[in-house]
Amino acid sequence: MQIFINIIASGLNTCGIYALAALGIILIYRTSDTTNYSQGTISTFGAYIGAWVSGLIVDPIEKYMLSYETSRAAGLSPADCEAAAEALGIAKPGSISSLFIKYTEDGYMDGYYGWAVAIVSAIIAMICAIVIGVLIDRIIISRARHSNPLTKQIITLGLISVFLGLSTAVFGSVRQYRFFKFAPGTVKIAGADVAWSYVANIAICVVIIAIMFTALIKTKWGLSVRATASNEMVARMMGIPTPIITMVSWAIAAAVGTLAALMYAPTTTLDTSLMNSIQVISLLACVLGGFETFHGPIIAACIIALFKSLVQFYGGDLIGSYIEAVTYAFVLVLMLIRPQGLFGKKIVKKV
Amino acid sequence: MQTQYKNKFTALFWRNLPYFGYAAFGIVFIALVLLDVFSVSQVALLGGNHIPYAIAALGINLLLGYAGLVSLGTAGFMGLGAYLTIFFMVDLNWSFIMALVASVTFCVIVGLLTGFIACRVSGWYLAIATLAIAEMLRNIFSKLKVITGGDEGKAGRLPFKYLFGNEEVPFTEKHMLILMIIVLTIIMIFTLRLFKSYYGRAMLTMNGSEPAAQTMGVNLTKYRLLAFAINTAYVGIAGVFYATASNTAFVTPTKWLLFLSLNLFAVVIIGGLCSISGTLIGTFIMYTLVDMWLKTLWQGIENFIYILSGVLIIVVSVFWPGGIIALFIKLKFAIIKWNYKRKAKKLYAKMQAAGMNPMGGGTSNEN
Amino acid sequence: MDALVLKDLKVSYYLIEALKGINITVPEGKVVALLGSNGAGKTTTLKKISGVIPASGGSVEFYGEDITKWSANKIARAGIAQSPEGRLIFPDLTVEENLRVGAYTLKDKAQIQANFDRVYRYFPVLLERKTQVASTLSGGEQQMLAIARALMASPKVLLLDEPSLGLAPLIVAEIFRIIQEIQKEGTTVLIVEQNALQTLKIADYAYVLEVGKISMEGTGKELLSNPLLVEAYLGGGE
Repeated sequence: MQIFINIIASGLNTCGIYALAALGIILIYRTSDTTNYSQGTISTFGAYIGAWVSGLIVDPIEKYMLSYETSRAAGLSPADCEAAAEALGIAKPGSISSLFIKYTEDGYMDGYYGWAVAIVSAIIAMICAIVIGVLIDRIIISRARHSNPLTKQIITLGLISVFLGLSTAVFGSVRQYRFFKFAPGTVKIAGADVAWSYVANIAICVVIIAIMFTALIKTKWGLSVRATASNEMVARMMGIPTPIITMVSWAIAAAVGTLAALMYAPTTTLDTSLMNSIQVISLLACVLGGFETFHGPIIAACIIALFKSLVQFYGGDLIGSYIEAVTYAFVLVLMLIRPQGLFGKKIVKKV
Repeated sequence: MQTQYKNKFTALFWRNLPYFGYAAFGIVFIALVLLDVFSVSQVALLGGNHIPYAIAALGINLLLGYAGLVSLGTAGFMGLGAYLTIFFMVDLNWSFIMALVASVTFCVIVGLLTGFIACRVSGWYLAIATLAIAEMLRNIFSKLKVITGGDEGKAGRLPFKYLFGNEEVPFTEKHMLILMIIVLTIIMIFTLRLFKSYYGRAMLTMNGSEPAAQTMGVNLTKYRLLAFAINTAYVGIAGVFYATASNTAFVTPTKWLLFLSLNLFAVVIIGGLCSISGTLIGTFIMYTLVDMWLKTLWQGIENFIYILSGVLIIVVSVFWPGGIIALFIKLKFAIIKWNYKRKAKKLYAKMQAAGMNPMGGGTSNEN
Repeated sequence: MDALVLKDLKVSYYLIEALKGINITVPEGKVVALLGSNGAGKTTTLKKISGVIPASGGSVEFYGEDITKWSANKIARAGIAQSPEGRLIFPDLTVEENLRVGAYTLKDKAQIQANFDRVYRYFPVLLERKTQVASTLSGGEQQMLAIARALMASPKVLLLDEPSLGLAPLIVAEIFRIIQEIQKEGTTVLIVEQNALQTLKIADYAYVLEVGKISMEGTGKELLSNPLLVEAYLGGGE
């Protein structure tokens, strides 16, 4: 029973991550008629930013703590520990880093709040991602607005190369980047120990998706997004500023993509191929769920995630090592059986 | 184009100029190799990387330029060809020719399966399907230790026997390079033939407008699958050559990442879609120039190349869809126009001197 | 004051000149018709007025202001609304949502609600099908939806592109009757049509567009009795 609950939790966690990634793809597709193949790479870049910010905050603290701890173990008072460290020439953590330092009851420095670092770096990463999304839309996508879909695809392929290069050039592959759980520890659910981060991730994803869909259905902005997705030219005729709609879509997609990357990165190593498999899955989710609706890909993403979790657990070692291949094969076979996707209608083109 | 030539043979020559051009290119290249112009390391680069990449890029050019389809599985299929060749030649002790045929056939079968699944949905879905296949293949490369040696990879080697029999044949890197040049030239000529044939024109109409092509009786699925099959064959051949270029060829899963597919994409787009010489020029710039010259100037140029190739893909697609070749063509036309104007001016002056009216018809009666 | 004036308007699609310099005046509060066969350039004209495509020469003036270079949303906010060719309703939105999009440029909730009432009064069938997805409506109902959607913007000028295309005669008659009511309420209407007979009956003034140029103009009555027009568009001797 314990294990089962953990599997469900892990499965839902993956659901959330895949759903966010798919949301990014479908949002851009429906508002600017572009399949954004670079979504994963841009999200990885965002994750790099988050990791780098974490490092910026935490590295000075850790360096300082090295000598501080020795002094403390030797029984010096807090002020003397600081003096000893200064005498050794080790810089005290700056004003920003100090905000995160944990203090014991007797006034000793006792490390830092990992969860706070995680939250702050995530927020900064998402803000940077939003800026990047806006820039990409303004500089590139708006120029190619009236090109054919093939050209737009090729442009996003070019973006992959650009961000692959940028990730390595700016952040390098030398340093080890760490991520901090912003919700450490476990919580008891129905008698099982479930990681807090699973619960937190699931909660965040549910909230974000709920907000997105409520906005889409109830607000004026959501209506204009759906109108633009339905027919861009007519939407413009009605006074809807479609270029701004597109720009906002790119910004939101970059932000949720980065969030998905930040949720995924702590479970694996951070390198430029971080989001590769998630990118493929989010695209497959859009194909499976159909590109004609907003909700289709989200549901499809959850189905794929659940499939993957169940197979990974019950499949044993042999299948486990091929889990990526098996998952992709599963979707491809589904597409063979039902080419119009789970929710799609047959596309009829006017000649 | 109804141009009059002096005699039948001149006509034959000029109309088939590109083919002669490719053959000449091949002959000159081979001569350079035989004359030892290239150092050992350069031969290894050319044979081990550049020529296979050029062949794979020609496949992409065919698929993208003519059929208008995007395939993101190039790296995966090339890796498949490489791994299979090593498996057949080294593990199963087959001859080079048998391994080549078996590997390429296997690649084409996998390609056709993928293409079939993709075309059931829609042509543009091919990109996503090939992306999935490429990632699947990478997963398999990494885990199927028996055939692929897992993450440690496997060593390729030069071909060591012809068809059957057991005699060891003394193939060197240079021999392999010359073989590759010959194959490259044949592929270039074959591709050009394809471009100009009925199939090529059918694919172009498909590219322009799907419904129009359908009303004209062009079976979209058939031509898409054909284009993709040829593409996979080229890429498979490229993989075979990658693994057999020298005894130090090494194949690992990390060599077949997405950025390889994207780099080859850049090669095709920068050189010019639908242009064979463009693809060759693109390969030369992106690989030969970089590997043999720019890298010696600046070690950290790798990352910059990624960014640059990405930027170039974007810029060229939006502003200069014809690539470098288009620039050449514009230049050619500019020269032709200038030449024409010059000749016209000369004729004008001559006619005036002779008292004729250059503008009106016939001679003037004002004498 | 003239609501809309097209001065020597030229529009090109790449190298093809669709409009070769046309002059049209739409006085305020009148119904003006633009007739012509397929490919004459009628839809191009309306698209240019709405700002969806660029002009290659000439100008469009709206109450004296030059709107030739304005973006589509600016023109919509200024008070020009269109019911496009082929109806082009948003198929996955409901009837009510379609109408709400039409009112996008309005900020006053009371005004929007008033427009809803007005539009449901004109087209009761839309009220019935308020929550239905637009793609499930019949052709005639979709056309009514398209016109209603344009009306939701409280436009000063209403552009109608082939409202009768593909519709049963009874419905066409109904739509034209409603157009006259709309005119009575003070809206200026520019209607583009192939169906010359019905249109000329309600038009105050009409232009005939042939291959990008105005070939004939006059009041509705004048053109109805013009033998050339009758020959070309009404099948002779109607």
